[in-house]
Amino acid sequence: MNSWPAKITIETVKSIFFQTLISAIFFTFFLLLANAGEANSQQNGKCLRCHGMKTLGYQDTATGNLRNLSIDLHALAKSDHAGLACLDCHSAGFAAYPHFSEARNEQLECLSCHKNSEKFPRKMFEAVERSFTRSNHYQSAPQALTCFSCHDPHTFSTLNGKSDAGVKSHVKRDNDICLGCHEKSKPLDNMSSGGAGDLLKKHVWLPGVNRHLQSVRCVECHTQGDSERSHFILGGEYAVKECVACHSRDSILTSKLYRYRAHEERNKVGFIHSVVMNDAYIIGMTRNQWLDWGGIGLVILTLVGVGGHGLGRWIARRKGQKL
Amino acid sequence: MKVTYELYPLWLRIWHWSNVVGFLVLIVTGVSLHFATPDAMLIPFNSARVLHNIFGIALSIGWLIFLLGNFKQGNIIHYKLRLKGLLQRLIKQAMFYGVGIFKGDHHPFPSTAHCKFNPLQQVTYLFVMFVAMPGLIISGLLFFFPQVAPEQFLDMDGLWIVGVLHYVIGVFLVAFMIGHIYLATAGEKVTSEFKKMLFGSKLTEER
Ligand code: HEC
Ligand code: HEC
Ligand code: HEC
Ligand code: HEC
Ligand code: HEC
Ligand code: HEC
Ligand code: HEC
Repeated sequence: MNSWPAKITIETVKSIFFQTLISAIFFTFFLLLANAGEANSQQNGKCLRCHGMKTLGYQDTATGNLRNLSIDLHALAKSDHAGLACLDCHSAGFAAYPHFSEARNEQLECLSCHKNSEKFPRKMFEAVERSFTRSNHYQSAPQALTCFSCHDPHTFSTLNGKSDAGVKSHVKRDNDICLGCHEKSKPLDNMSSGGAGDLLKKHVWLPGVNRHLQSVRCVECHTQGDSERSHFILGGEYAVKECVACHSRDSILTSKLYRYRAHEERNKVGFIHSVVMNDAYIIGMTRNQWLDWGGIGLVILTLVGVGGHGLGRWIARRKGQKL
Repeated sequence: MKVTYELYPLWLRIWHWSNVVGFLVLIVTGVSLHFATPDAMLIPFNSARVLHNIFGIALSIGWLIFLLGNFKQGNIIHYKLRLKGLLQRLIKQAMFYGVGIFKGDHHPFPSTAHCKFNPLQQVTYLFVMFVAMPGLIISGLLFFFPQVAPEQFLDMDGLWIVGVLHYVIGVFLVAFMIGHIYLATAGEKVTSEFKKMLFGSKLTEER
């Protein structure tokens, strides 16, 4: 059936010809696309010749850890720093290879670019830094953790205005940051005092821990207030433990995890927190006000009906007795 | 030949009263969960959850026992619906509750060994026991094992439909229970139906 045709007809030649043509067109198209991306920042292409390799890295002689030097171009293109070329951030000393040794001593920090910057009228970064330096993460070992422990400048992007990406993926992204160090069932051994301990054991009081940790972020419970304060992580004794903090109408989740959705969709179709309908059913929070009033109404109506009927019977009986 | 027949055999009475306890606990805890607030809770959220789970499962097992008992012990006969003339009989019974009962009329459909329920009772109980209860139990179990629930339903989270269904059936059954308790006072005497369900009721019939 599907074997090579015994006779080569005009038809087969034609079809082979067209297939080749179509492939060729697609191939050129792809080449053009790839070139377009590179032309976008030709300079980056130079660096990525080496740093685009997945395997580029070296073993740090001081710590013995492997230092990964590869940069994921696709992640960079989707990040908040997408518009920047490598050399906008990195010093000119990297332009040549071998890199100048003084270039390697460059000390980049998020705040060195973002503090008091005209470009960022919001005081977000200063607020974040304040919260971070007051947190246990900084206080317990001031040099051990930096912004880069949790954020890669080549991939970082905020959730602002990206409400369509799905809450579960946000949750995963942010929780993976924490889980990178606080692995679920492994104690933190090689990190300072290791006060964190076994993560699942710390959260046994939470039913269906795994499901909760897929629907809700660590920072929901471990920090208070808005995103600027979400770096102010303290010990477990300050974390949210009451179920009704989330499982109620005035759930903290509206001002945290669901804050981007809350603006647009609040109270649509009569659902209090309809905002979360697509993402999760949260007992006590996802409630339809019509169903709530309908339910209460039905019960009250039944009680009234039953009461009225009973009263009628009682009156009828008394009348009957009097007659 | 005279045949004596127990309308409410012991197993049925035990099931019935365990059901009562289960329902009351589930209503109170269910209300606590659905209408949860940081203050003024009937029962704290987490305790309510634990109790609701335990009694929910107990109620489900009870329902299975009810089902089994019905088929094994022949109680199912009372649930056999005769469609012929059903509407007329339903109207007759409704007329009794609406008018006759105030005039001291007799019950139009007294219990027999073939059917202890009046037509309205029969239709309601059929719906409650064989439609509402399975729906309540299935949605409750899906809540208990959320990983089994559909991931997505109509573009929404799968548990959403489960949650709404569970709530709606629950509310309906609360209303049913109120009516059920009230109508139990409409026997020969106010207390006579309660006594029957507590101590049983023997019926002797000529066969
Ligand atoms: C020919 C390959 C090659 C090219 C091209 C190249 N690099 Fe590198 N880069 C390396 C290697 C190998 C290392 C690690 C050894 C070293 O530091 O010299 C490195 C190290 C670095 C480091 C520092 C790593 C550390 O230890 O902190 C930075 C930053 C860096 N490169 C940026 C750039 C930038 C920006 C460009 C483009 C302007 C670029 N590189 C072009 C190969 C290259
Ligand atoms: C927004 C500024 C910014 C841009 C744009 C940027 N980098 Fe970086 N890069 C940094 C910072 C900050 C660090 C230091 C991170 C740290 O200390 O962990 C860094 C570190 C590095 C490192 C060291 C390894 C690592 O990941 O820590 C390499 C290699 C590197 N950058 C290459 C590049 C290349 C290649 C490009 C262009 C494709 C690029 N960077 C674009 C800010 C930037
Ligand atoms: C070397 C300087 C430099 C460093 C280091 C740097 N950034 Fe940036 N960042 C920039 C510049 C420049 C822009 C503006 C990009 C644009 O407008 O396309 C920017 C944009 C951003 C934005 C988007 C802001 C907005 O309001 O749209 C965020 C968020 C951000 N950076 C976070 C970070 C974080 C987090 C770090 C540390 C992990 C960091 N940046 C490190 C230079 C830097
Ligand atoms: C312990 C890990 C950790 C460290 C360290 C850390 N962050 Fe974050 N950061 C997070 C997490 C998790 C989020 C997401 C929280 C949120 O959106 O509320 C986040 C969010 C952000 C945001 C986005 C806020 C928004 O509105 O979306 C910025 C900007 C930011 N961090 C900057 C920094 C800077 C600057 C530092 C260093 C001073 C830093 N972070 C250190 C974990 C960390
Ligand atoms: C780079 C590794 C790292 C990351 C990422 C990280 N942590 Fe930590 N965390 C630590 C270390 C180390 C400690 C131990 C501090 C101590 O023992 O005093 C700690 C301590 C804590 C503590 C307090 C423990 C105590 O006894 O006070 C909490 C809560 C915590 N982390 C939560 C988080 C959350 C939430 C995230 C994600 C936003 C996160 N961590 C991300 C390394 C990390
Ligand atoms: C539902 C709220 C909640 C969520 C979500 C949550 N935690 Fe916790 N966490 C707590 C509470 C409350 C404690 C304190 C428990 C105790 O002391 O009994 C705690 C304890 C901890 C501790 C130990 C702190 C100490 O003082 O010993 C660490 C570390 C921690 N959590 C990390 C995380 C990480 C990482 C995540 C996300 C993967 C996370 N938590 C998600 C509420 C939460
Ligand atoms: C930080 C917010 C938060 C806190 C605190 C919280 N929950 Fe939840 N809970 C959620 C979310 C979000 C879901 C929805 C999970 C899903 O289905 O995706 C959920 C789901 C549930 C469910 C439904 C079953 C399931 O797994 O979906 C139960 C039961 C539950 N939580 C019980 C509790 C109890 C008991 C507590 C207190 C000990 C608690 N929760 C604390 C956010 C929270």
